[in-house]
Amino acid sequence: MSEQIDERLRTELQRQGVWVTSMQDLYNWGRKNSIWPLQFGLACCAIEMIATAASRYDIARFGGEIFRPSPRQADLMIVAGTVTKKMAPQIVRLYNQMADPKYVIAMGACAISGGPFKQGYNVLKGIDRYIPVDVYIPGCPPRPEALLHAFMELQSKIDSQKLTGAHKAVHLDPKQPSEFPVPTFGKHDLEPPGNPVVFQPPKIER
Amino acid sequence: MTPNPYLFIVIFVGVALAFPLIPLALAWIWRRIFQPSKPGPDKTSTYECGVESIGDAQIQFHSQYYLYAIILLLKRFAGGLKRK
Ligand code: SF4
Repeated sequence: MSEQIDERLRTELQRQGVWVTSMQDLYNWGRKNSIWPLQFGLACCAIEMIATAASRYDIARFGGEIFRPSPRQADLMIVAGTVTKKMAPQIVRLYNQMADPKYVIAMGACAISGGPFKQGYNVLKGIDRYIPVDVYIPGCPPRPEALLHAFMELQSKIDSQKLTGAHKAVHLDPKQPSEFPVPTFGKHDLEPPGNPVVFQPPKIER
Repeated sequence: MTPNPYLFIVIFVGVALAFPLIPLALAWIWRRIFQPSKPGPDKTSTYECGVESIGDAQIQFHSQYYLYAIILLLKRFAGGLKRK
């Protein structure tokens, strides 16, 4: 089944006033314009997230203003702030409870790597150790424009996802997991310290 | 000839059934063709704040609590009346 439309043919038809679409385009168009984020903030970055949702930066222009208080209704998890080791199991569990398709934006240096608290004993060194992250935003804190940019990047990612075939989207593939193991509190650290399925850091060779 | 006045009720019932059933049917078809469901212990758990629930949901409150509930109710009522 070939559901791809030739781009040139489509432009030519549009010039004649004929609009054609495919199931995949329609599906992705609907999804990318109604991303509902999960409503939670962890630290200072959350203030910037709130500013993005308020009227000055107005994330509603992108269809993402409906912050949901329940993971069952959310499509996007914006990890905005420092993830402490105490908080990490809850974040992973909330991610697991979100319905497919689900996406993650790691906002700020803390969510990416631990940020200014990287050397601390109690801060997780990046949420991507446990859940797959789609878009990373560097900055401490990133400006609301940066979050909007990440949102647009996510939209273009959703737009490029395939409905069928070998490279179809993760949530459409029955073999891909939708839940990831929740870490537990160990003696000194979270156990396991990372999920090898999603976290494969490059090996440093000296 | 005027239509049977009960006909409207029949039409309304039909519309009321079609509104929820058509999206549900579309979602079911979509799931069968494209999107496999992936249930799991976390995803299907009842509580959704990120913390695992402990114990049983079918607990009994102490009967002393009933008094507090009544007082709270009274206060809310009285507050509502005062504002009027
Ligand atoms: S990245 Fe900076 S602004 Fe964001 S949560 Fe961490 S310390 Fe706060």
